[in-house]
Amino acid sequence: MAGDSVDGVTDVVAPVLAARALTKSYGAIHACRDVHIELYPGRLTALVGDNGAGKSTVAKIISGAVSPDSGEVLLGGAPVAFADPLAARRAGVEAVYQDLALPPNLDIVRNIFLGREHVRPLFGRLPIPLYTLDTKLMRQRAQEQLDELRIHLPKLEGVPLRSLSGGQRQTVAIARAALWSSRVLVMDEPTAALGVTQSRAVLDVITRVLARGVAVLMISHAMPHVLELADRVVVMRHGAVVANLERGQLHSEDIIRHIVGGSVPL
Amino acid sequence: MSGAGDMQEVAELDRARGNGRAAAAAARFRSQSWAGLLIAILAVGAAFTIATPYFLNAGNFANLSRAVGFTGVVAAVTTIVLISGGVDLSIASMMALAGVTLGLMIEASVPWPVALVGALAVGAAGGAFNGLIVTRTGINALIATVATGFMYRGLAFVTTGSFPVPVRESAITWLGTGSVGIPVPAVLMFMVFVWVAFLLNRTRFGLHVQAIGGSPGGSMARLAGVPVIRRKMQIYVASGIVSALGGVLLVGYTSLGDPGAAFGQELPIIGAVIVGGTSLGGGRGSVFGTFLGVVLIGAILNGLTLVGVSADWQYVVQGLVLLLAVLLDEYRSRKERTEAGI
Repeated sequence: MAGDSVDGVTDVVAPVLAARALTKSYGAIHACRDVHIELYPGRLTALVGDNGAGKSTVAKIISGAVSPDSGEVLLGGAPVAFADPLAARRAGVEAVYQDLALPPNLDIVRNIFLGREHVRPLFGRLPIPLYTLDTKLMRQRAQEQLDELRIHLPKLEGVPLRSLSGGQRQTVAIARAALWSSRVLVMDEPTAALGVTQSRAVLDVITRVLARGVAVLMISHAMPHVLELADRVVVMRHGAVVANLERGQLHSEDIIRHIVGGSVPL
Repeated sequence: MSGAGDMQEVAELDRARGNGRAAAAAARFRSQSWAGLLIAILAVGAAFTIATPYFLNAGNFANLSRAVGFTGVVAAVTTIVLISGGVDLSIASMMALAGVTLGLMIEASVPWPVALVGALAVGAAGGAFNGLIVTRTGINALIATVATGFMYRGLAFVTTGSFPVPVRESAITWLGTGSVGIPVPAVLMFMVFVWVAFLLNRTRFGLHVQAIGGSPGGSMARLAGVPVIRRKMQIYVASGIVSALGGVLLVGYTSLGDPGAAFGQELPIIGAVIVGGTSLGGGRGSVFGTFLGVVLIGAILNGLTLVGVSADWQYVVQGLVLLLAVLLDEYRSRKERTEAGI
């Protein structure tokens, strides 16, 4: 299975995250069965499959939103059991889910730094333990990081997120995750709701995140995006991994045949 | 394929333009709701100035600022509670319980500073109890604080045998009736407003309050790393302490630790906050707006008294103002939902 197929690259570099024998059932339905996945630094693993194949469940287990019935997740070789997404975030595993998770009443800077704000002493050097938000520093740092990822967003401060378009909001969610992910970035359909230009921008961001050495797991139905970015494609069907393809073996027809079960002539 | 893509792109550009407009409109509306309040205050002031010679003079302004001081401090912190998506309906009962605590302690010859701290501590304890119920049991804050409000009011009656406790301590009386050019309660109210505005707009706490109120049940805030439970505890404790402070000021004004004090005042206080533009559903609000709301409602009640409208009719007017405020809030919230495309 996935853990056994080792190529030249993965031989040398240890996986930053490895999921072993993940199984999760909801009542009689097996959302995923015995799933093995390894994520490598600076590499993108695409998780593809038909609707209901169990991709989102796997992504949610890896990012701490769902706990598996059995199986384990190793981060840097050590087993981890994330109690919630916050625990995963603290360990450097960020996720962008299909349902956006950003408070719509806050502006971009505040959304990006929410939970990790910069503060400074209110009275300078006086020994009074009162702190105020360092909005200037946060705006600066947000701008720097966004520039580095070449993400263009309108006014970073003063405009609530709800006033932005769906695509812009999605870009903010991705930017936030990209900025904070130090080890693993999990993305569930990052381009699903986006137009051509914005999809392009998101793919470019992903490329830059990869260049930082972050391991990326991307769920996507967009085959051209998968073919462009993936170092490895894991195909799931009915909750199980049915194919684990290396970069050299990636062909759209093959992947689709695996997704639908190989019985459809193409 | 590319044709469809182009169309999507065009649609997106359109949407982006539309959203620019929406943002500008939203900003305009926000400034207008302030402007609206100011205009309303001026209109009410002008009407009463014409109706009675007693409205526009320094003595009445001192009265007015004193009268709004007691409830104003509570309204300031209620702004935080509402923005976080919570509500505290035990505030008026807590004013009474804290006032009674102060009275009984002074009656028992406890030095007044200790009694003052004791009253505020009772506020903190009551607030912590509210916070525990809301965060640990998941009971709706509205129901939970109505219930604890009954308890606090009941405790105030039980501990005093239902009789008001006279308080003749000059320091406490000074808090309610004294003046430093401006009436002391008004000064304290102003300080509380500045403090709350700072908390809400310039601190990590305030950002977290807004984030919690901006997502259903604070779920998005929790995912982002906001310590939601700790923040909610802090919010309700603050509400309890400042309600107790309001109660102390009221004791200073009336020289009585009255278990029936501030009876039924929780809704007018919350009404003033909503008149000021804070959302009943959380996520939106402004401390300055609350200040204007407090002044507006205070001016209406003060003016009605001066022109001889009975206290009974003033209840009707308060009810109407509250209804109007909630209607306005519903209108604003619907506008926001449209803006967000929900």
